[in-house]
Amino acid sequence: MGSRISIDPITRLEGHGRIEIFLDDAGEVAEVYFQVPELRGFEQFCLGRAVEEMPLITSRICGVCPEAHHLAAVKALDALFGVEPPPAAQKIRELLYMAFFVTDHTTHFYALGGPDFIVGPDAPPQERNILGVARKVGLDLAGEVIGCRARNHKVIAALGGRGIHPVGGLPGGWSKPVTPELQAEIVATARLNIVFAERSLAVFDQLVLNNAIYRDLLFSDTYRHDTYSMGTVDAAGQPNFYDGKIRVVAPDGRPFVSYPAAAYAEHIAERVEPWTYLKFPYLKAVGWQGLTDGNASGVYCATPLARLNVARRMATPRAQRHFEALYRCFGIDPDAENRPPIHYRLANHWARLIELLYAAERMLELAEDPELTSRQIRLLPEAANFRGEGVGSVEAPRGTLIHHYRTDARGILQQVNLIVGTTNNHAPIAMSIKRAAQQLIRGGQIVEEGLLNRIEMAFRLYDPCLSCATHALPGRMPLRVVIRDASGQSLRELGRS
Amino acid sequence: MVASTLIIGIGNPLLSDDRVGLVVARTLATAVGQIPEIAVGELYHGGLALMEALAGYRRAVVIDAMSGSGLAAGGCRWLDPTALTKARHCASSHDVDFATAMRMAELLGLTLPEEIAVFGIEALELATFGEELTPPVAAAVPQAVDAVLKYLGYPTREAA
Repeated sequence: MGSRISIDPITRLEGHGRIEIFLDDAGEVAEVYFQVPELRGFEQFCLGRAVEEMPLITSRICGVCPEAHHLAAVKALDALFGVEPPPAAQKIRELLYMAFFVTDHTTHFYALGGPDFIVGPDAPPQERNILGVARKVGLDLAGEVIGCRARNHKVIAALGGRGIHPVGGLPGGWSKPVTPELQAEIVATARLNIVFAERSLAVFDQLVLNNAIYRDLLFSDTYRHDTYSMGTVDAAGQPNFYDGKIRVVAPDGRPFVSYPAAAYAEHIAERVEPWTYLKFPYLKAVGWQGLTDGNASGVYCATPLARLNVARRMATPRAQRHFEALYRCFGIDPDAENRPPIHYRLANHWARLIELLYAAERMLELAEDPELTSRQIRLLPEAANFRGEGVGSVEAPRGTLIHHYRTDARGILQQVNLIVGTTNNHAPIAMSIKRAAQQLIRGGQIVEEGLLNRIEMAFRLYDPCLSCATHALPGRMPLRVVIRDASGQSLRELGRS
Repeated sequence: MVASTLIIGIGNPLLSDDRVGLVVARTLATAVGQIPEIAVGELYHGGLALMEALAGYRRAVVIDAMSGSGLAAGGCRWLDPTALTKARHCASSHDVDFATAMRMAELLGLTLPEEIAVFGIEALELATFGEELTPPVAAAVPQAVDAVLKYLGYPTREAA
């Protein structure tokens, strides 16, 4: 039994993410702590402001997913002001959001997660990036990645009213109608997106599923955790990233609970641990048993794979075909009652591509909808309906995103609570890192080669958005890994410096 | 006439000194934004997005906050983009670092500027939400503006 080490959780990390691995007396991994720099003062920053500012403020928290925050904020305002946007406005919002999802999932797969598979986890770091992918899949496909981003960014700017951050959302609707010309352009873009998504899935099939080493990795226990899964589904139990009910399924596949976003606080609590400022959300009804798997542990996961796990089926036909292929590949009948979830976390990369395809198909559906060009896109809130409190939720690429605001009678913010996508996954991330470390550190022997990368792979599959906003020069999200013996002495430090 | 020079400020406007790149770019926009060959832009994260923004220009100046340079807060420095394998602002965990994005552009035959200069301003506060620059960083803005104007061959505000 190793001695208990206390760690100062407030240690300023100077922009480094840090993973501390503690070995016990037998040289086995006992505990893993992961920490990232803390961003402070968000609530203070917001309090006292007019709540209508929130769609613009929160879209600036994160340079990567401003659309997700903008829409969650706007939906919270709909609830707070007691106004339901006209259908055309909902469609415009969802359409913009699908274009965003396409770019985001594309970027993650080709630039971040994909390299682990396509180039290989043991390839040198300078190859394990989008360049290595480009060399492996061909330059024309790499060019398509850039093209996909460009055409969808253009659509987002045209719909959203500004290039970098969307500004079109208003309580009760949207600020700008869609012209027939823009509609035609979006239809063309959506069609290209579908082709590109199918091509990406073909790449995955060719380079990953047909490669024995990667298949082993996909099915390896190194990246397996049996936890609850969370995602948002529509009335038919199909994933919808813009709206629906939040659904949670148990590790064994039993439906656990389904609730509207407004009720989130009844179902989710946050665990505070002394060694990190990061909070660990967990399911209240199950309870906190620590960073463990199983039906008795309230830890849950909110990721692309989790979103598919809680779904009965996909809402669009092409995505549905791939959804079925995914479950069959893991020996699961996609139509089974209480279908067992897939717990092999590397399958997130595959799930992400299926979501990419769904987003593209959904984008086409919305773009072809004649109601899209309606000019009825805003209902003005009425004073009598003002509620002064509202919750807005969307599925961000990295997990279920919740915005919760409370104001005084004048609409001035009194309370703000945000659960960002990655926050849902703090516990799963810590568990995945620990498991990866346990595979490579045994009896005090540290297999260094590839260790850092395998740990990073465990981290990357969640597409984490941790202090994503702080990115001054220098340092590429450096993750320092410190391995310590039972007395806390540092044995080895690894990291991308 | 299509602009051949891009001045681009990178930052997060909500994270105190993280906005300094944006502030400098906006100030430059009032100084030289009317000149047809100059375009001024802003970006909230780098990597691929930065590479995409730079494509098509002959020269570019990228302005950003930096941390841990060894300079006191408000200290300024020109950085060599080829040495920027660690451009944190030019990177995010969802993206590629700047150096990789540049090589990607080369590989794809995208035209990146022949000349890319990176100007960094040492920040004091990057982890607390706020819309104000800290005093030492705010004090560095005029100097930064002049440094970029001089680099581009335009009169600095003192000289003008």
